[in-house]
Amino acid sequence: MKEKLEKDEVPFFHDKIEGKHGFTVPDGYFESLPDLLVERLRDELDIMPKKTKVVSLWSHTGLLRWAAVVALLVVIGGFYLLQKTSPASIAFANNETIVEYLLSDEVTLDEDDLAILPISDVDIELDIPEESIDALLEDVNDGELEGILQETL
Amino acid sequence: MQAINDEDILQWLKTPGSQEKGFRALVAKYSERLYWHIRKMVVDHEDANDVLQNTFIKTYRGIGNFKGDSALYTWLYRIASNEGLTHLKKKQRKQTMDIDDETLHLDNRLKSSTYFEGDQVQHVLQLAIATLPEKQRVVFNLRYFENMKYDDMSEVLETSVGALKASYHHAKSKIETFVKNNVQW
Repeated sequence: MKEKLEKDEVPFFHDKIEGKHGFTVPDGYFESLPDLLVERLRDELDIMPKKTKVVSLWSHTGLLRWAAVVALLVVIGGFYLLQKTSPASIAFANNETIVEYLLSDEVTLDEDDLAILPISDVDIELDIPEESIDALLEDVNDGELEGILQETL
Repeated sequence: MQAINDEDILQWLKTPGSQEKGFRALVAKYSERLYWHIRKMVVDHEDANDVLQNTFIKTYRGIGNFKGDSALYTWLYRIASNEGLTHLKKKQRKQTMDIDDETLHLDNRLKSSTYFEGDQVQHVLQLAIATLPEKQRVVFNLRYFENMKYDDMSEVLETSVGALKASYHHAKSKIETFVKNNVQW
């Protein structure tokens, strides 16, 4: 491939420059060239499939990833269970759930509590015996009752 | 690190699934030599980078056409030389300077370039080379700087050995005159 120059091929200034041209190249240029070219070919020709990074499950980082996934699942599962079993997840409860809970045997409400219950926009069947309704209306005269009915209708 | 042989590189390049491996091996083995060959033709690093990348892209696309009649490196040099010459012709078409203006323009580029650290003789030598016709520049560079055999050069440039020897001697004579007249000895 290479051969020494013949005597008559050597320019007079050869000893001054020793065959050197004086050009330089940016640091790291040749090292970065293969990756640059492979990316360029991948986009243009789509011949070389993308290199998929294989992460061993049993490697240090692989184990950490799995641990993170399990921890996340435990937290999500915990949240879900907490909502199902706890009666007091107020932030996620709708009015119907709240009212049902308040009317259950677990809670004792007085008249003031009952008055502020948001039952007007909740479709709840209140299982109150007829005798109890009669007892409640005993002290209410017809005029008062009419007034109440007119307000609510 | 043991040098990878050309047969392995070609085998990888032609085999589906190992093409990336083959291409990376090709670039690792030949990029530096081809780069300097191109750089001496086009002078600027940015231009040399463009031409070198085009050379490798063309090589990859045309690997199916490589029959093995010549050595891999002479085929690569041929592609690189043609890409470099095409680049120079394109640049010349865009510029409308006469030879004196071109020399002055190159003089300024070399002085301001971060990637040229030559002394006065090397600086004037580059100006001298730039005055040559493009193909003669390639002949001079390949023979003087790379000591390439005329037989190999004949394959690269698809020109007879006799014509190449004559071209080199003409180039050497012109360059020596230019350097004598423009360097303070």
